Amino acid sequence: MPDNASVCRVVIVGGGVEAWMVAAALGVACGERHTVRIVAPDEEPTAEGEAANVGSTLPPLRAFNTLLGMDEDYLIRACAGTFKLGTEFVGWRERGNYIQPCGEFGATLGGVAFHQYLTRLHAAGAAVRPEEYCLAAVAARAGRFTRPSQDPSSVQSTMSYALHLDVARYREQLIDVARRHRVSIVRGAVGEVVLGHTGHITALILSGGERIEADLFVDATGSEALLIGEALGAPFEDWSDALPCSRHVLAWRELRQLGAPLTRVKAAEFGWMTRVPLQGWVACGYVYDPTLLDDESAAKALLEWMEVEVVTRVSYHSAKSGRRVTPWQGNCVAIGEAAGFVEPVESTALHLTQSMIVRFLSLFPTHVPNVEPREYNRLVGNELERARDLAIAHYATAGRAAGEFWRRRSSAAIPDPLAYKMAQYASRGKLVSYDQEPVPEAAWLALYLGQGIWSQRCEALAQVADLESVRQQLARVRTTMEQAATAMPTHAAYIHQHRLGAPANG
Amino acid sequence: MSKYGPIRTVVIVGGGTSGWMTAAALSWAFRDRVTIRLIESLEIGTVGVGEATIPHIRSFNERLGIDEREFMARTQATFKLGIEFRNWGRVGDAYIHPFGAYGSPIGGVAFHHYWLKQRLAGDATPISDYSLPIVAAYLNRFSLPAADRRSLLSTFSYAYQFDAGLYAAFLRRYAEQRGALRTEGKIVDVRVSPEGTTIQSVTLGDGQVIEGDLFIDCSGFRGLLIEQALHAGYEDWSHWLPCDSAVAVPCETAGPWTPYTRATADEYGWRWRIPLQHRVGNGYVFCSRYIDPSTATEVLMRNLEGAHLAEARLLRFVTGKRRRQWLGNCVAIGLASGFLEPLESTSIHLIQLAITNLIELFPDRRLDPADATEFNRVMDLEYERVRDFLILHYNATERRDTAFWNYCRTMQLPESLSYRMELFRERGTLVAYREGCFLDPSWIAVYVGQQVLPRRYDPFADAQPNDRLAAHLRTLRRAVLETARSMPDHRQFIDRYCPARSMAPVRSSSGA
Repeated sequence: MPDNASVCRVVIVGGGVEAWMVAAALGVACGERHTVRIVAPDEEPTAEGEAANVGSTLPPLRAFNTLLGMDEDYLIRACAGTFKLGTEFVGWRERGNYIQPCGEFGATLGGVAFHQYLTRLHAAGAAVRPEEYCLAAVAARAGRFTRPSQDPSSVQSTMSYALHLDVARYREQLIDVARRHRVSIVRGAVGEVVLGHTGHITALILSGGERIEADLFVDATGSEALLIGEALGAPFEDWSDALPCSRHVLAWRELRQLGAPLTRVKAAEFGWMTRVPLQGWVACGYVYDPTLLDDESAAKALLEWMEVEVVTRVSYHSAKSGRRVTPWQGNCVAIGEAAGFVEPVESTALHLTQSMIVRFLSLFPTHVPNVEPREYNRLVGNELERARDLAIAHYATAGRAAGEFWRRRSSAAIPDPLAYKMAQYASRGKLVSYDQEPVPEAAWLALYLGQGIWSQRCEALAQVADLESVRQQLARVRTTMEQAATAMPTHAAYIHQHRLGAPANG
Repeated sequence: MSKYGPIRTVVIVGGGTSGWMTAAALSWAFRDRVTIRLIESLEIGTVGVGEATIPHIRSFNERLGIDEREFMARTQATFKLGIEFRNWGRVGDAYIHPFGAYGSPIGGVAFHHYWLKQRLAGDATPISDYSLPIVAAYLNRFSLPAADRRSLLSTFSYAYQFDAGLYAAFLRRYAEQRGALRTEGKIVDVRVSPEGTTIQSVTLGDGQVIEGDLFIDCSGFRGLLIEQALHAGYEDWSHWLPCDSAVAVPCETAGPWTPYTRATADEYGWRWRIPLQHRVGNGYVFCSRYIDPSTATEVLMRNLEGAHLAEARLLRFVTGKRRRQWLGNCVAIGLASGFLEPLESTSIHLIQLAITNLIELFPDRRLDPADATEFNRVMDLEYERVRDFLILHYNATERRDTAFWNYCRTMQLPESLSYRMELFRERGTLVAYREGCFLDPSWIAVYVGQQVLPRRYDPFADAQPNDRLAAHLRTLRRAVLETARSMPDHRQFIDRYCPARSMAPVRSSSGA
C-alpha cells in the first residue's frame, strides 16, 4: 500500500515575488496533510528589490492567477494593472519598429499557415506590412483593447492578452493568498543549511538560531541560490557569452495618460531598454552589459530616454543568464532565478517561474523523490534553453553592427537548435517547434517578419494559389482586422468602463 | 521564387493504399500545375496495409473534400471507437483502448489519479466505466460525437474500419478525376544520377522510360527506389518488435458489427479481427522464429468466426524504418518508408503524416536539402513514438506461456520508453512530447489495461473530500452508461447513414 502522504512538510526560502508565487500555489494545492512554511527576510523587499521583474508578463500567467483563485479584475485594480497585447520592438533593425503580438496572424487558409500567403504576396512585389493582418497588433497600434472572444468563429478569438502588473503589489496579493491558505511565515535569514549524509537538506538554522526542519525545500532565493547553489553546489551553466546583459537599472515616473496596451523594448547602445505602462506611472529599465557600461552611465542613458531629469526611485539588480544543471537535487527544488534565468527581452521572467511552479506541482513528491527530479530537470532545462534561443534570436537577427556591444552580438555563436529553426524559416518559412517551447509559433513569426526577414520560398500550396484571389483574400483579412480594432474602446476607456481603475490612482 | 522553377512531374511508383493516397492528395493540392503519374503493376499484388484506422484519417478525407457517407458506402466501412486488446497483460484479460478521454480533470489534477485513489481505497470499478467510447463500444452502439463541449457525447472521437483495397480504388477515381495519370507496367530499371543521389527515370518492361522531377516510392517493403536504387539504409527494430510475418484472410461475418477492432494476443504474436460491412478481416501477426507459417495459418483459420472468403496470404516484413525516408528527389511513403505492425492501426496514419509533410515541404527543382532534413526529422520522431507505444504492449505482460512472451517480457527497452514507464509506475505521471499521435488517454488505456499501475497517485488528489469524490464518480458512471444506452445500434446507424453501395470488382486485400 503506498503512503501518499509522507512528504508533509515543505519549506520555501525567499522573499521576492517568485517565492510568494510558490507559497501561494502550494498553499492552494496542498490539503490538510501538508504544512507549508516560507522563510522570508525580516523586511519584504521594496519595489526596487523586484528589479528583475518590471511587470510585463505573458498570457499564461493569467491561467496561473486563476489557479490561485485570484480574480483578474480585482488583481488589475490592486496592482495598478494594465493590459498588454504585445511588445513593441524599437530600433532592433535599421528602420522602423514592430510589434510582437499576443495573438495570431490572420487565419489558416486551406490548411496553409497564413504567413505563407503573406510571403507569396511579398515575393510578388507587394508592400506587405504583416502587422496589419494581426488583430492584436492592429488594436495595439491603435491604442485599443478589449478582452478576446471565446467564440472560435469570431475574429476576436485570434487575440490573446497579458497583464502589466506592479510586481511589488502583485507580491502583496500573493502573500494574501498564501496566508489565506494557511502558509505560515517565518521571518528571518538562513544562517546555515544542514545537510544529511545522503546530501539531502535536513534543516535550516536561521540567523536567530531557530531550526527549521522539513521534508522538502524550495529554493526561491533568486540569483543567490542559497540552497541549490551555495549549499548543494549544483553547477550553473553560464550563458553570458551569448546573453551578456546581466545588469538592470530601473526607474519609475508618472504617467498622466495611459497609452497603447504594449510593452516597449528598445535596442540601446549596450543592451536594451524597456518601458512598461501601469496605471498612473511607467516602469522603465535599462538591461545592459556590465562589462561595457557602468551603472551611473546606464542610469543617465535611461533617464534621457525617459525624458526626465530626476526620478524618485532608481534601483539596480544583477541577474545572469544561464541555468542550474540540476535545479532539483535531492529534496531541494529551485524555482525561478535560482533555477535559471534568461534576460527578459521576451518578458519571460515571471513566465518561466510560473511554468516551473506548474511543473513542480504536477511532480509533487510523496516520499523521498526519485523519478521526479529527473523529469523536472528535463522539462525546466528544455524550457530555459528554448527561452535562451528566443532571446538570442533577437540579437542574431538584429540589423545593428555599430559599437562594441552590437559587434560582439552579431558575431556570437548560435546554438544548434536555434540555427536549425532559423534555417528552416529562411528556407521556406517553416516554423519549427520543439518540446517545451515557452512561446507560441506566432511570436517567432513576428520576430522574423518584424526584423524584415522573409523566407526565400513559400509553401508550394501558397505558391500555386491564384495570386489575384490571394490578394483579395488578404485585403479582406486586413479590412476585418481594421474594423474589429476600430470597434474596440481605447485602452484607458476599457479600464474605465470595466471599473478597473486602481484606487490609489483614482 | 526559385530560379530552378517548380516541380513539373511527380512519379509515384506503386499503387495500393499509399500510392493512391499520395496521388489523390497531390492531385488535390497541385491540380493542373503538376503532372502526377502513378505507375502500378498488376503483376505485383498490393498489400492492404490497413483496414483499421485512427481518427486522424478524418482530417485527411475532409481536406480532400471527401464526403464521409459516400466514402464509407464505397469502402464497406464501419465505425471504430477503439481497439479491444485481449490476452495481452494476462491470458483472459481484456480492455479497450478508446478514442476518447477518461473523465475530466478535477482541480487541475488528471482524472486517472482520482480513479487510482479510489482503487487503492478498495473501489474495484474499472477505469473503463468512465469512458463513453468504451461503454458504447461494448454495447455495439455508435453515434457521431456532439459539438457541444458540455455534452458527454463530445468526449470521444472515432475512426473507420474499411477495405483498404476499396479505399485505394476510391482514391484512384478521385485522383484520376483531378488529372492524375495512371501507367500500367512493371519497372525493370531505375536510372540514378552519376553521383547516386537522385532518380532520373524509371524504365518499364515495355521499354517505356518515365522521367520525373520528384519520385515517390510507394513500392512497398522492398523500397525499389529509396533502397534498391538510392541505398537509404534501414534501421532494424526487430529486437524490440520481433514479429516478422503475418497471414491474412477475410471471412464471413458471424458476430455483431462491433464498432471496434480486436487484437488478441496469441502464443507467438497476435490476431486481428476487423469487422466491415460485407465481411471480417482477420490476420495473425507472428514471429517466425517460434512458429512456422503453416502452423500460424492453422491457428488463424481455426479461430475464424465464419467461412473464409479467400485463401490466406502470407506477408513477411522487418520492423523498422528507412534511415532516410526522403533522399535527393525521392520520398518513400508507406511500407517503403518503414514498417510498424498494425497493432495500433497506424499504417495509414503514417502514410497520411508523410503526405501532409510532403505537401507542406513540397520542394522545387533545386531540391533544397532543408526540405528533406525537416521531413526526415519529423517522420523519425513520429515513427519512434509509435514504436515505443507498440513495444509497451508486448513488454507490459505477465505472460510466461511461451518463449516468445518470455523474450518480450524481459527484453531491453528503448530508453525513451523505459523512462515513460518508470514515471507512470512510480507516480502516474504521463510524459508528453510534441510529436506522436498517441496522447495521454491512449497511454493510460494500455498501462492500466496491462497492469502497469502507479504505486502512488498525485498527492493533490487528496484535496477533494472523499465523500464528494465518490459521489462525483458515481454520477459520472451513471451518466456514461445512460448516454451509451441512448446511442443507436452501430449496425442500424450504418444502415441509415452509409450502407455499402455498388461495389466495383473487389481486389482482394486483407491486411490490417
